[in-house]
Amino acid sequence: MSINKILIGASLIGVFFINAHAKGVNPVLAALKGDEKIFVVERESESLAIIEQGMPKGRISGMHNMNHGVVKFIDKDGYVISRDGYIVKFDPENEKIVKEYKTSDSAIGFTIEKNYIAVANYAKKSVDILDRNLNPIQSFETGSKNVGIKTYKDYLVFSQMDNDKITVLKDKNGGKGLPKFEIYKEFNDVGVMPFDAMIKDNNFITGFFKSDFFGVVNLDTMEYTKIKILLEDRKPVLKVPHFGFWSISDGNVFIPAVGDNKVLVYTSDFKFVKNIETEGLPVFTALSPDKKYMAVTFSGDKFPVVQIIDTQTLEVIKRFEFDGKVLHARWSNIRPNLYISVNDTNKIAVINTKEWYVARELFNVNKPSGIFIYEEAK
Amino acid sequence: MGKVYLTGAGPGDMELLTLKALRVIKEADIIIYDRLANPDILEEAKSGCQFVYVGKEDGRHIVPQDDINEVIYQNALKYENVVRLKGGDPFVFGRGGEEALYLYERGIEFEIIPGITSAISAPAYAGIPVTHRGVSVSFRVVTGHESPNKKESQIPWDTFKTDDTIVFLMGLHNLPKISKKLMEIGKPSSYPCAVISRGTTKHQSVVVGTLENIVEKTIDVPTPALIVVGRVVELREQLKWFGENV
Repeated sequence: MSINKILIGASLIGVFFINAHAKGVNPVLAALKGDEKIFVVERESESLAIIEQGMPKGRISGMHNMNHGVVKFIDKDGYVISRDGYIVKFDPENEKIVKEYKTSDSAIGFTIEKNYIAVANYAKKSVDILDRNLNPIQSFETGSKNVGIKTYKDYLVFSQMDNDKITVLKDKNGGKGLPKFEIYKEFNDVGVMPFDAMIKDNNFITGFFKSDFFGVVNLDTMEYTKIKILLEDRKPVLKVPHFGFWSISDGNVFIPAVGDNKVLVYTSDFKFVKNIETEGLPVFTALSPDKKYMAVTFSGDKFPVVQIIDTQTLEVIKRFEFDGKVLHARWSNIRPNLYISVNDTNKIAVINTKEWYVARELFNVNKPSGIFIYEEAK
Repeated sequence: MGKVYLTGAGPGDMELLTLKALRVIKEADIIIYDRLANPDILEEAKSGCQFVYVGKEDGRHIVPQDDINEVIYQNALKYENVVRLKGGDPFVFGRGGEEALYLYERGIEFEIIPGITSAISAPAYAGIPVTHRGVSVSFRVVTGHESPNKKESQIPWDTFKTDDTIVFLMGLHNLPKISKKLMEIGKPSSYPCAVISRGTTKHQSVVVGTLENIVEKTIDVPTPALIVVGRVVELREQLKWFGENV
């Protein structure tokens, strides 16, 4: 299987470089063009901090439990999922909460399409479909924690963690107006405890907590296959971690090793390429929009460190150390910036990715974790 | 017993002298002054005013600070209006605080007359805003002539990593050390900086470069000069307005 077929769609957005000199625009001002508004999950204060034009601007409170809080944008709407099962719709331009709806007592994953929002709940054990204004449309009881919820064409796909099952729903309305989903196909005994998933093109790929392979559903043929990832010594990778922590460049797949100071590099068809020795135990990797560089964060005593890997040479080229735990790193699509959440010291550090230095520190962001960028120019 | 006016003479351009400073200079019985960027200011004094030079040049004190304190004090006992005239602002690396304390301890009345510091005015005359929305949210003013012999620097170099502007006053002689140190803490060698010599005067000259090449580009630059380090330097390309001595 070619990994070209399983790329994460979001990573395809190219970098927009502004040719400042050609237009006689001052380069330092040109770098500011193209508005982006940054929303940072403030983990312990149930809020999103707002950063605009490089300055902390304020916050939106009332976001409920923001442990693992995730923000998504579509059109001019923002949606937040809280750990305690709330979906909060907010207006990113006017920075106001529009509405909230509680789907369950515990949830992490959701996906947004033009006409609906689908939420994978842990408890209650259901997948809930809402319209864009958070009115409930359908609820599918599964009897399991539900994870890895993704969409493809008219399909809504998710895994049932407790039932080792992958479920494919299909919208009978064919994407026109509000959806009407029904169970289209289910795959049983896919592996033990499916967890995170990703989708690219026609493939739904899921990892497992307790199986040493990952599973792929071809959503065009509805065939299921298992793929093993082998280490240098041909032993299988023991645990496929969170896909959100992977990076996939044009040629290679980068996987943070579990329990080892390495990022594992594979070809697009999962042939072993190299172990990149890292300073600590890698947690997640984040690829730059042009895919030339990858930021790696760590756990344990290397929590404050971020290393930058050149995806062509597969070498670590830069290292940054901050004065507190780094919880998240997010590359800007329109500026040469990499944003870093430094949780302990309540700040966002901004790395200049053209010249690799810490260009700015934005203070008074309370216990920051996830960083999400709303591009106003969209 | 007289009153001492600890007065800022501003950065050099005569018109940047405050109205209050000009008034006390005109009324002064004695002016105790440092090396000034613009000595023409002294011509504003009344006829019969006494002048005492206690200045320092390029960081070299002609008169030790303790002696300066005493000169001010002794003259305050003799004259009604004593002006202690200092380049820039008396409280920005001017040791004005020490002089005021010396007078306070001896019961001498004093007044502080702020002056426009070269830290902001020289960059302004060079077309460099020390802050600019989205580029630099703060600026620091740092002594540029901390003794290189100091075992441990009092300058918090590690906090200078970001794009916030740094202005080093009186630092031309230490420029090699300053630029090297800034690159050591992680600033790129291509990072913009400028040296402004005799800022705000008709003799002003500005050299723009990078941390890597600024030393060689400023070999013949006269003092007094200050160093501006930051992305804001790049704004000079559009904001340069003052006719300079090129």
